[in-house]
Amino acid sequence: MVHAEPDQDLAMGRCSKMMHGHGIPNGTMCFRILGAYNAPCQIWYIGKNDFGVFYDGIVIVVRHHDSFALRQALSSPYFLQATYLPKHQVIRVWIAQEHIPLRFYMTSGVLKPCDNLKVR
Amino acid sequence: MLKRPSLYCEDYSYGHSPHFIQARKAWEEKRFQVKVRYLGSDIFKLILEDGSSLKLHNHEPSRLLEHLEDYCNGEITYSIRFHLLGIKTDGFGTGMFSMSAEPLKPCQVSKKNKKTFGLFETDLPSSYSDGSRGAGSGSSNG
Repeated sequence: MVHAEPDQDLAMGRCSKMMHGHGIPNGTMCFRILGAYNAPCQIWYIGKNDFGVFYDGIVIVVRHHDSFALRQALSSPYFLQATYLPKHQVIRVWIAQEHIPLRFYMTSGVLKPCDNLKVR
Repeated sequence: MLKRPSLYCEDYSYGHSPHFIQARKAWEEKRFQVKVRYLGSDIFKLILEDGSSLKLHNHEPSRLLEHLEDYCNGEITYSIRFHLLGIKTDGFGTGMFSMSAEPLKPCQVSKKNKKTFGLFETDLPSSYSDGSRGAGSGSSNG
């Protein structure tokens, strides 16, 4: 399995891939997730790009290309709650200072390599 | 998709809701492959690979039974240390069910499940209790 290395530069939009594990496509996905069921969840960092999510008595391992950004959101001093949308594999992180939750598009399958990223 | 718990039991003792820490620890350590047989009521028989068996209880037998029927070909594992039965599903993760060797105490249902529905007439604000009052006062002023 190829893992993209956590890279702070990714948070500045260098990866333009819009798919599970990368960025959420604007438009349809944003509207779809608004009405979808989302459960409060607990998240732990496993390593590399992998996160364990516990929701409704279920454990699932999901991956994200920019694990640094997700870890930063989860460890924010203003962190309120994280929710998981199982249908779309989206993690929403509610931060006190933000008006809207941060959204992370996850994949439970293989994480494809990022665009515009030199593999080190 | 996995069925959500029908009641949010806040009891994290064995046989009731699995806690995040239990689930995480059980996930990280070795779990044993098992076969499960339903014995009726809230009792399930777990058969380990070495042939030994355990009779265990769960607070939501109908939900556990549905998972077992829906994902009968999935991997079923058991954490002896944390008493957690894991049923692997395709794409939605592993459902964790806490099991108890002892008969269960009644569940502790959270307050959000104890809503009372319906209204008595005395629950209504005074302006609504007499239907003629609102309209009557308006017309007399006019």
